[in-house]
Amino acid sequence: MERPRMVLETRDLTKQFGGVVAVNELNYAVEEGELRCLIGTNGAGKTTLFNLVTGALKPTSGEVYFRGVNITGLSPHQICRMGIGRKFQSPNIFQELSVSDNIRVAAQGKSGFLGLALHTYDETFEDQLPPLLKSIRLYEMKDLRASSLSHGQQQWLEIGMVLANHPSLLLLDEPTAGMTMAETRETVGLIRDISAGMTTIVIEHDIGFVREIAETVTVMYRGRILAEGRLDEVERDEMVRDVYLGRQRE
Amino acid sequence: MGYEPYLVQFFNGLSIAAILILVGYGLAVIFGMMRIINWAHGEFFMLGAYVVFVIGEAGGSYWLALLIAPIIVALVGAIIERFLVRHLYKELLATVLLTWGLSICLRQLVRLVIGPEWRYIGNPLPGSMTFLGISYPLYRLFIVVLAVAVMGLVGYLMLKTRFGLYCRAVRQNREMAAALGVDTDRINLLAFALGTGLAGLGGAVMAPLVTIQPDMGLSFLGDSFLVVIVGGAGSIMGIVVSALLLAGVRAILSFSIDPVWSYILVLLFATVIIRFRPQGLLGTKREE
Amino acid sequence: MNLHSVTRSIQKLASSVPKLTQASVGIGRLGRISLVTLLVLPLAVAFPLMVGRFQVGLMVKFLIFAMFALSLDLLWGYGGILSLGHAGFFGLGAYATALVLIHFDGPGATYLGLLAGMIVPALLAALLGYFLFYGRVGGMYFAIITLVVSTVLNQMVITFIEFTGGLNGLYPIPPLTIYIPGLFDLEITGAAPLYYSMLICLVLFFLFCRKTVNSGFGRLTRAIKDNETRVEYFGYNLANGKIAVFCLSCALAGLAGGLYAPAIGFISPDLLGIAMTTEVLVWVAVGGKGTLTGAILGALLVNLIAFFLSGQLVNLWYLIMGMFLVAIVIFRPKGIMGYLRE
Repeated sequence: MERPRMVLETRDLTKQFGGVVAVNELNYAVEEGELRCLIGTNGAGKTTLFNLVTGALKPTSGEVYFRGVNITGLSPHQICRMGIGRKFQSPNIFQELSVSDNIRVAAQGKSGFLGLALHTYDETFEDQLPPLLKSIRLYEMKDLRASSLSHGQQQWLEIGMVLANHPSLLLLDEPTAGMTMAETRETVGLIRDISAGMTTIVIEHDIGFVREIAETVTVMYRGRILAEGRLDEVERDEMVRDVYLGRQRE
Repeated sequence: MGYEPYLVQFFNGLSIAAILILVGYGLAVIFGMMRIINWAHGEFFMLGAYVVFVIGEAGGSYWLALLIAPIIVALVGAIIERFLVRHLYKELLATVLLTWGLSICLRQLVRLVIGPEWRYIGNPLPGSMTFLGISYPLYRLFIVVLAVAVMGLVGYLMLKTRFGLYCRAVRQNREMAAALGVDTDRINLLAFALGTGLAGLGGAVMAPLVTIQPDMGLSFLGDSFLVVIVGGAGSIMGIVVSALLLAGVRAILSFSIDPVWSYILVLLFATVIIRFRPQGLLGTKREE
Repeated sequence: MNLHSVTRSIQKLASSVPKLTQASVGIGRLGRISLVTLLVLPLAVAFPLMVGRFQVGLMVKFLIFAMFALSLDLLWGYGGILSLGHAGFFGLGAYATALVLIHFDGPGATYLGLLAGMIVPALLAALLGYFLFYGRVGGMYFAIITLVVSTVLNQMVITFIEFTGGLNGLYPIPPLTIYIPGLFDLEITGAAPLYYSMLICLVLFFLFCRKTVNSGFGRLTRAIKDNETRVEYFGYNLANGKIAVFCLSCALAGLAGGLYAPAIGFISPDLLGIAMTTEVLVWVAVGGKGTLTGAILGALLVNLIAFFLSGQLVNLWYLIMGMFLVAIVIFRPKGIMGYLRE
């Protein structure tokens, strides 16, 4: 009987920094088309997991599989080309470039050099640009320098950039970090829209946000999976409550 | 006939290495502490030599000049740090241009004030010592002894005194050190003065052996940089070892090959090292 | 009419200058051309008619220097990569072209020579770049290595006298020729023809640089300067990107050098030295890096001033340049064009 295709799978993935084990023999899997949330206290290993998946870090042991292909140890640009896109925790964009140029750079990441040099003006892409800008609510600012955007707008810009890169697996690291209430609400709709037809993993702290968008939730604690399931199930889990209420368990 | 020429070359290499260690360590202190690459470092070397020259012209003894030169050069370094370099700790590439410009200014000032002519000073320690079948100049042996003594002093300073402790703390983690009450501005100033003072000492020591002219620092600069790159900016041992290595390689190569080629080979050697170990041979990886 | 109102009107006039320099006019598919350029261009064309042969010859040199400065601006102003040995590539191109022109007498020698002047530096840049950028060598170390490389090149040129004439340099160097088979074989000699050829070359150079900067590749280069780690997460091979801009910049520097050799007719190892590198850095810094026009402006302006301060004061001039550099770094990091654009 065929299991639904695992887009991302880690096998006994471990990352150790000196004495600290950030990710501990983690077996994490995400199915095609899921919108999965990854939550946990600070230091649980969530961002480290992202780093391991995207090639920013090499694991101490264990493997990462993307669509059945072993991507352990590949470099970030290779992994990106295979279809994994990442949004970083704090807005990681090109401050000095305009909003549109930011997206253009992101979009052309997978084309070869000759393509870059010869094509100044890509008709098809330029046609797709306005709708993309509108979907991230930045159409009016398209010619503004990225550094002049607000924090929340920069977060949206980065999301747009990652989208323009056409990933099939989208990793969002705290997309609403530093956002106002209004911006957070906007982002809910934004993420719902963009995650249609794509596999998405979102790291988040804001439980209200998680409630709005999540189907399945994974709770990490000290580099391991503490619980996994729908949010209401996970919320009722004893161990999860202990961890969140501060009662340490070994 | 047999080993004598090699022995002579060996000691030649040793004496060159001694200078490289002094100058290189000064560079390393500045780079390690403040992440600034001091392009004018060769000029402090040059200033040291000129101080010796000027004092000689005024009738003073070489040994007096040797004592005074590092102090004067360190003072100049302190002034430059306080009024110019201090402004740019945030933008490292800007400091490259700044110190580059300073290098020009210092060279031209010396050229205009003292004159561009090539100068020479006599050997303050003439004579040679016979040992192991060769006759070797006393002065060169003195250089080696001096370098060992000075590095020993500096090592003591860095490892056993409070100042050294602060220096190492600031180098490891500036913010933490500041939060713990270390006056980082003062440490920067003193470290810069120490670094430039060492370069000045190197120049003063080299003065009897080379032509004293305004651009003399430039040729030493490249070698000093290679020493720091290869040896890593963090450790005294690293500098010592890489200085010995580079001087040694040069000495061996100059035996049979054109000095230009030996320079190229040394450069290749350094490039390969830095490619595979960006922290230098003996440096420790910095968590940037 | 009192002192206060006079100073106020002067202030208003002065502050409108930057705005005027921004004014531009569209010329269809070629983009926009600034008002300033429209005014300057006729002057530039009429220049040889207004001054003597010596001044025109001087200007030929300055125009070539402007091209050299443009090549550095691409690398440093747009790519954020500081090279302390750019003169090495300029000089390498000059010697490569000169050697081809001297030893190869046939038609089309100019094309071959200029090609050599571009390819040789580009190959060296590729080699260096491969080693350094794949090794993730930081900006500082890269700068040092370029410095040492240019010093080594300088030394090599001095030592291999049979090829390069050593300290005496190469002289004379055959002139540039435009050869179109069957049509003509035109030698470019004489101050005015050289001047116009170099002017055209400078314009072409500038247009090429501008096109590159506005292309996808130029955007990538600016993105690398802005946030190089981020670039990798969009699928770009960072090392390749840096190697590409480094090679392009060095090829252009070599081309400028390749034009220099036959245009001036005499080259020496000084072209590869630290002083030359310092000068080009100052030109770009003074004019404003990352603006292209700044590079041209800086090159022309600084060289003109240097010329007026004449030979006696060469040492003083060099001192002033050093102080200039220090002052620019401490007070006005954006240069003239940067200041005007704000």
